Amino acid sequence: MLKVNFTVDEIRKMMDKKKNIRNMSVIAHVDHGKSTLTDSLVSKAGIIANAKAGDMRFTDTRKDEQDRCITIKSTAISMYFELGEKDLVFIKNPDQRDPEEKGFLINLIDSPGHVDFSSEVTAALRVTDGALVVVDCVSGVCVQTETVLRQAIAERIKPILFMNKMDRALLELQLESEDLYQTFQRIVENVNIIIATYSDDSGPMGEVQVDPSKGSVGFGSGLHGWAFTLKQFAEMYAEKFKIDVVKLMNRLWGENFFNAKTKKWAKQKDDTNQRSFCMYILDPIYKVFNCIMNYKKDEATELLSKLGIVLKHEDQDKDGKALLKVVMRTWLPAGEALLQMIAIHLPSPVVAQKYRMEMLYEGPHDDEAALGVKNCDPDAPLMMYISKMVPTSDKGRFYAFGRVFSGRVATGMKARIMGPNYTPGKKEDLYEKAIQRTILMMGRYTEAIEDVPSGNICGLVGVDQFLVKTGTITTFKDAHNMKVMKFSVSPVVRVAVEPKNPADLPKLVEGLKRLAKSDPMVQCIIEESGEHIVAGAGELHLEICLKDLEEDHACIPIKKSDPVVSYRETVNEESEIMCLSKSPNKHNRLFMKCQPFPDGLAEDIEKGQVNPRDEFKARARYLGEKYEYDVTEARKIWAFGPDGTGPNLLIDCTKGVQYLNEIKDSVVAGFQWATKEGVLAEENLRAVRFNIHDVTLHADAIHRGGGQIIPTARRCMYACILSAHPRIMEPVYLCEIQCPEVAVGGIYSVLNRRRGHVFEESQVVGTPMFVVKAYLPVNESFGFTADLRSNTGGQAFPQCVFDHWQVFPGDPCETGSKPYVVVMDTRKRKGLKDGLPDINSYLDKL
Amino acid sequence: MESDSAEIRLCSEWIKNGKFERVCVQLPDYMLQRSVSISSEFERLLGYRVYILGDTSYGSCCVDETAAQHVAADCIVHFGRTCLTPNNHLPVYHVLPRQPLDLVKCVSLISETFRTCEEPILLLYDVAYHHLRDSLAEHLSSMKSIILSDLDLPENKNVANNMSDNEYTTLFGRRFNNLNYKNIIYIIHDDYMNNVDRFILKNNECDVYTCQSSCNELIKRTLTSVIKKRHYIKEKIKDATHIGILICSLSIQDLLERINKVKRLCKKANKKCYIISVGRPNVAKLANFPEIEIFVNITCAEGVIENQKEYMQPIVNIDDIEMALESDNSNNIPDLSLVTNKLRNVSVINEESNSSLELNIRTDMSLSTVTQNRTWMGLNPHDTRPPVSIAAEGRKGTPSSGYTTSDTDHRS
Repeated sequence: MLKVNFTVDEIRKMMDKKKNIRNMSVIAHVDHGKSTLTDSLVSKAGIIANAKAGDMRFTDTRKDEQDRCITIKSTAISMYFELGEKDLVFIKNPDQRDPEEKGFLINLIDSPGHVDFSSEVTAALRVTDGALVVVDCVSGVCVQTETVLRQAIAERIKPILFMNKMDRALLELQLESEDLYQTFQRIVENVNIIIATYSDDSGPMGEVQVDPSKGSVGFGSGLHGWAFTLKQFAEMYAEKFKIDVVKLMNRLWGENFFNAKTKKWAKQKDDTNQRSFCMYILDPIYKVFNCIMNYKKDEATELLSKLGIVLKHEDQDKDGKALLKVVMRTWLPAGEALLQMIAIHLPSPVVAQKYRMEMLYEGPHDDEAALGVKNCDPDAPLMMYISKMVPTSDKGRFYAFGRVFSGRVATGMKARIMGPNYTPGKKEDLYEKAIQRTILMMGRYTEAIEDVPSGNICGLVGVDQFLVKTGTITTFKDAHNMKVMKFSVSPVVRVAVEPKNPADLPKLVEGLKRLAKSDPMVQCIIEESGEHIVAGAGELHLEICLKDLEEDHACIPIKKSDPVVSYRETVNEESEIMCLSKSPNKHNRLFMKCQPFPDGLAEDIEKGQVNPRDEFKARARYLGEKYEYDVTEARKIWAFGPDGTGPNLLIDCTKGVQYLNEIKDSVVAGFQWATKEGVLAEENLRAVRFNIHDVTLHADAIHRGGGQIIPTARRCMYACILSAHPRIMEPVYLCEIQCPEVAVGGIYSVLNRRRGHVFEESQVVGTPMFVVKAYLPVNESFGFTADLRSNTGGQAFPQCVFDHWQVFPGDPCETGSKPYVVVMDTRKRKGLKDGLPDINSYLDKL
Repeated sequence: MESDSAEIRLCSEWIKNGKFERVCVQLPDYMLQRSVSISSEFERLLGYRVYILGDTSYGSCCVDETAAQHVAADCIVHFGRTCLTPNNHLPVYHVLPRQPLDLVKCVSLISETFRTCEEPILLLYDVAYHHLRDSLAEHLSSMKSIILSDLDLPENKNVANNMSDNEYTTLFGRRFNNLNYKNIIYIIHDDYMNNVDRFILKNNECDVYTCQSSCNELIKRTLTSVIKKRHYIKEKIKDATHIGILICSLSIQDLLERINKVKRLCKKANKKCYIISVGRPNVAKLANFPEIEIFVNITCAEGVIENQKEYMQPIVNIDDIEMALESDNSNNIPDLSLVTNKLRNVSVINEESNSSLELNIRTDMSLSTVTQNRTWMGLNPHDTRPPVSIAAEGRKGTPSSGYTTSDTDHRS
């Protein structure tokens, strides 16, 4: 038995052996069994917190997580594991292991599987180097598996795969062994397809594809606590066959068939031979299942002795499922197989940071900080990324949780705290403070530690006040920021909150500020109307946020509005007329038109593919090639908006206008204003291109100043929009629903009522389950889950993730149309004038 | 017209009593057409000519002392609506507008609603109904709980001084007994509905009812939306780094104190402020300062700026600034903005404070920090043309006879 009760000093010693550290996250679709699987690892190798090990759902530290059986926050725990001599040879890269050391420090982060909490996964991935992708072998690869896996690959996180819930495949579905093999094969293939789409084996990470024959795919049941990789079985048979373990592993997967009579291997199936995987791996497991579940006591005893399984005395009287669990757990202990897989196949920080540096660091790739990160050098300047805030028992204060990528962070040391808006050389978003305390965070326990060297994960006390959600901590004066995380979800669902007792408002405001910090994704804002808005990724996310707000952050009873979505304004066609607006002094004229973007450009801008910092010639070429924009015009993009980066463009299409450069700032200011507050309902504009066609200006500079031009530019743009068939855009979810065939009809009827449309329907091969993929407008999604359940007898479970913006069908200028109602409601909520704006108040006559 | 001449007669009595010799008559724009008749009436009664002040630089509700000082006037007669903002120097006589009001209907409405009410009720009224005050008081004399306010007119001052100041409160030009009011009724002028709002904001624990000139019903006015908007404004003010102090009236008694107060608050909160005086503000004038994030409107009680949405920046009043900046805890912990979701830099890092006596350029104070993001910096600040030099002798001659070149060769 391993020693599991570690002192902080012993852990601290392990932290220095950076080659023997594995930082990993567990990612999967919701309900595929991450937390349960994690439990089996913790009970095997958890350190410090071992007193509590054996608790169900160890990493679900919150009460609501335990109650709902759903992970909400990602939680880190540390484990210690020693590899045996024979296993150590599997580690070939010298940077993956200290030659003197057999033990491995494994920092594991269990993350939520529900799409609404994807931001937690993103934060977990950032601080880890490897990911254990858990797939329920009955349901296969689901939408969230794909989303998180894609994110992992993009962050250069190396994946390994675990097929969970094998017990269900055997007990419930009663799959034949060949069918089960095919299921496994398909999942591996699907996972590899996703991986291949975003990376290939010749990339900087080296081999990223998962391969059972290499041992990077595990099989088993987290619930029953057993698991294996091909390595375990190869070791069992190696002696018998007198073949090297590695060679045997290759034989045990894929198109390898063995003829028991002739003792010959073949590459093809024929009548006499059998697939090796089924024969040597699945058959013994099936046999154990069969004889135990069918209560064949004698046969079972014989089988157990054959397999060399010795049961503890108190377990011998068990039978049925209980006995099965004990037998399987003794025979193929999950912890052992998984931890081996983790130690052998996941990269150490030394290996990972070499190729991750360029993805992590914004600054030049050869400065001190970059080199420190690249070499995972504990003696370089400190570079630490804070990926999230974890609430402390002290209300309103947080631990800043993150990873040390370079140098070491120590209690009491003075460091620079840089928020996401920091730019080198400026003072914005920069603080220089002492770090009050460095701590180890494990599940719900924390432990003070003197210092933490590079390659490790830890928490900091005292920096939370200087960061909102994320940030960089460094001691290097010229350090740039570490890159901010890109989330796969957006806060598109909003509720307005107010205190039940108006006098509690200051508490609410304080609570909102705390909430904004504690969740990587939530946005807490006050609107111009004075409403306090909480915006989250989905209904469940909001529900949890509001509960936290009420119970933990504000500690007051709150009222909440029905959820609403935020809209965008756009146009459908080019302006019908050339719009002219005159300045207040009537001496300056702007002539403009607007037109919608070609498909895809708005998304390109949001992804940063096209952005204001691009070199203008290269950008113009790109726009010309991809979107057929006139290259000379595309070179004269004056601005992106709103906020200087948004998905709308202002383009100078004039020829030879005098003094034009003088008014550029003013027109841009008017553009930022007009794109921030659209003309219909003061929502942001999206996918609109404004062309300035002609400008006449007063000859005297004083009469063409900002005061004359800014309001005029805004009015002119409003006229452009109103003359170009304005439209409202709404956010749309991509919705994946899994259900048995009988429930499919119910799904269609619910979706139809809610303006959703199905674009893919397929059966999960080898199972009776169907997967329906649909687009569903977010504002129709409220109560969708409940509606779906009641219409399908509780058999359908949807996962919705924001996918894109889509034009709300109908003309908002037509009284009574749906978008008209949306516009009017929004105007009313914002306290704007009733009725649609009139184009004539923005348009002037020549 | 007749009422005008009656007022003018009273007014000239007041002028004669005060022995004023240079009299200014300030007229709002809509009364300017009657200026001739008014001035000739004054001339007839006083025996000397009076000055007419029109086109008041700010709101015509304020007494335009600055204009009066141009002619070194002794007193001002103010016609039309007034905000009753206390002014500095000159004696003022207000000729108030007169609006009709169905007194019987109004009184019965009030008494019906508040017949059983024991607690004191404050009754306020628009300046246009001041001429009806006495009859109103008479009608309401049966209802003991109703306290009728008075206008804080300069000619009433003497009356007030007879009583001790402690008994009376003066608020926005209204004077009333110091009592614990639960209810306020405001008889409102239909064109100036918003005038009641400032009373609501000052007395937020009272229920405020408005009665329009039609006297059909008492409407309880709540300002939830206005108050809510102020929360947003408060956040915006905290976010701002450049604040413009907008002077919108010169005849406020404590103008300088107010400006200094804003300046002090801004300094405390580490914000830069600029005093801007552009006469009566409009959209075009204020859009000349795109870098300023908030304008503070220093004005009289009725000086609200219409169609605020057309302005680029929010225009707030001094109360908002106080509310937002005074509560600021300045223990150097950055605060999260609920508008931008970013941290507000409360204090910049103290660069190793140079204790040396050398002159340093403080970049953070110069105007260039405001305009550095502009692409147009004015006419070519870095002139790249060759510098101006004294003309030197060049080449001489014609093409046929050839050229002679002086020592300095310019052909290169």
